[in-house]
Amino acid sequence: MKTEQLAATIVHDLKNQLQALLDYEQQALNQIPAQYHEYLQPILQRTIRLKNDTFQMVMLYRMENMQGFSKDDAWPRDSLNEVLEGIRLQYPHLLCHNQIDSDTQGFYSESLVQLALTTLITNSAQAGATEVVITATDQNGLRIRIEDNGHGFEKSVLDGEKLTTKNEGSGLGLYFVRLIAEHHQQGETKGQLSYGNKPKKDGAFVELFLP
Amino acid sequence: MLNLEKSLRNKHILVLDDMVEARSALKAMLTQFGANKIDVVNNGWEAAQLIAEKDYDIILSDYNLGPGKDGQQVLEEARYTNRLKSSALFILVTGENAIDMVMGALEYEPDNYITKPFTLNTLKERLIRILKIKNELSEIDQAIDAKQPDQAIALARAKLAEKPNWLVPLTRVLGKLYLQLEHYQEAHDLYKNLLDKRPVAWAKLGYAISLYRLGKNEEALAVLSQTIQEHPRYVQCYDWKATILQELNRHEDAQEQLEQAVNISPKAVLRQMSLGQLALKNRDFRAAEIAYDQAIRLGRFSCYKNAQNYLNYAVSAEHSLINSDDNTSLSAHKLVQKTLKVLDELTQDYGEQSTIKFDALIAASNLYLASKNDEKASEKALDAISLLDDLVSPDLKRMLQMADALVRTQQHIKAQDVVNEVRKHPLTAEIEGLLQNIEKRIDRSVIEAHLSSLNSQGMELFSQKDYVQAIALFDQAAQDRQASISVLMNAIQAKISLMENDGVNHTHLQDCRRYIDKIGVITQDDSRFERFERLKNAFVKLWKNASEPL
Repeated sequence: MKTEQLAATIVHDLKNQLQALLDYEQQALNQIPAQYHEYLQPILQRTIRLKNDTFQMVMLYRMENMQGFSKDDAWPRDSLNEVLEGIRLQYPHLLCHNQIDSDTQGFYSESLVQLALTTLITNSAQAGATEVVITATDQNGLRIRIEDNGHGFEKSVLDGEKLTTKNEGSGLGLYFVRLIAEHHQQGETKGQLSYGNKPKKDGAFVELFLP
Repeated sequence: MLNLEKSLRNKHILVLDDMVEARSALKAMLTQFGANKIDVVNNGWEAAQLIAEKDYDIILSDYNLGPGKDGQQVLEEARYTNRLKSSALFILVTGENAIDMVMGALEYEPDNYITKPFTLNTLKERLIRILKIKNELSEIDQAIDAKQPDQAIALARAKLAEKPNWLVPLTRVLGKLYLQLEHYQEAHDLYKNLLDKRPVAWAKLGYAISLYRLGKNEEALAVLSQTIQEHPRYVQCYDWKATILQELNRHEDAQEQLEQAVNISPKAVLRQMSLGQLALKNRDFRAAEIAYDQAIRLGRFSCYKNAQNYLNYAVSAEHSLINSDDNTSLSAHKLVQKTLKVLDELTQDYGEQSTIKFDALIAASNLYLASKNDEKASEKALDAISLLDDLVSPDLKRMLQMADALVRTQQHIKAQDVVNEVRKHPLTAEIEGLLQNIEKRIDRSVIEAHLSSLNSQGMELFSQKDYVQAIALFDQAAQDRQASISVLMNAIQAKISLMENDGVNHTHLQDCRRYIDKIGVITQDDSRFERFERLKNAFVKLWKNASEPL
């Protein structure tokens, strides 16, 4: 067997194990009295992070090997709803508003875009946000916009000197989201990621453009 | 908004998953959404049976079904046997690990995909999306099912003008219709237009196919190669490359493409069959043997089960043996045993057809010969002779195979008999050529020795006045194209003597006439002249006595 096949087999099992772990944790949460949930919640959060990390690793590998992710017609409202189900488990107190119109349509790799959305909303939660609003338009390409009420990006991140505002995690979240955006290329036009702070320092915004 | 409950009510739905929890969870969710006619199965084989019997509106199949058929194969069979209407939905459910591997790379595309694991809400939203599109396309699908492709094209074009957002699904439907109706320029332009905006894998394939149909082979090959680079698992691209390469007489390159496709997707029976055929053509018997072995194994419980695969396997094995340096080796022995088992299975499953039984015996004879077991080879060839009479006559090709097997097993006299039988029929140039090839290989000295033995035995019986037995032997000898004049005269004489004793017989009279014609003219100075004249006179006398004119 070739090394890459071996690696693929191991990664495959890793993802399966993590999914199983998540299922067990969720089952446990459903059956254990609420007062103990605070002990399980961090475990669940870490598991989800591990799963996302694994997926990021796979993603890097596949991009490196020129194996594209299949893109297809997709509807960001549905993609986001699925993401939010996971977020709710991880951050039960974060209020998320999916304000994307049901007919808004895009052409993207659903698994990649869901990873990007998960990363971005997780960032918001970790930046102290209690509320996140997601909107989208599909004129001349799809633009998905996420706004939160957290403490916003640090100046050094906005200036491009630093990649992250937080001390935990790989700190590569934004980098990955940019990779995902750029993976969506349409002729000469590449996908883009833009972000900044809202005026009056009442939160951050991120916009994902997928041509 | 689409009403899911209304859309699912009274629809015939099939749920296929090998995991019991997944099956019942999916069924429970669908029931909750309003579905009331759900069948559930846990393996591909049962699913294929059900699909063959019942018209389903929606099939939800897991991709990975454990051992046996996978979801892709279930779909492939359903499409192959035309058991899925255009208006029906086939949704492939796959684990998120597999989705990117599967999506856009399946030769028989499902209508849609659902990624596992999913929650109730996700499934609901996904189904609503899928059914909404299907509803919008329903008029087009109905036209396709009613075999009105022109109408379907008109409807799809109108829909496209109305809903530019639906470019992708509409292009998919339209492209297929154009290719089917051989409107290749339209297909080309349509796919090109989509590819300028959306780089979908199936559109690249469709584009390549239209290029090929328009005669632009090199361009088509380039598009296919590029698509394979981007989607290495897109097996259909390899198939089309193989088709084009064959057209360009690059048969070995074509075989290589099919081999790559088979490595990626080893369960597709039809491809294994094409690979086997191509390898036989390329005289790569080892590759053919492997491909047909797979085709037999995979086809065993499917609609692709086919007697020709078994016979082709035997041919491949036979030539592998001939080509191998040491056909007494253990592996050669194993190959013979395996091939005999394959032929046994063939005879058991198709034994009621005498043609197939015959073919299996000839194949066995050739196989034994290749493994230097001459005795068994002769035995099988002899067994085949008795089946010749059962063939829908005249099956000249099989008769030639018979003669060939007999020559190979050194049974020249019997081979000559079969050849004589073939010669009684009008022959095409092809058959004539094959026949002459066999005739050249028949050992004349054996035949002549046999003829002279028949002749002398006949003469012995004749002298004992056993005309009937004598005639049987002389007739046999006289059938030979190069039968001697004395054999022919002996035959005439025996027939005349019999008729003088027992009365006129029309068959014998006709035979006499034929033999006389065959002898032709004998000049006076020939020592046989007088005898021939006597026989002719006797014949004329009998002929005049015959109640009916000849």
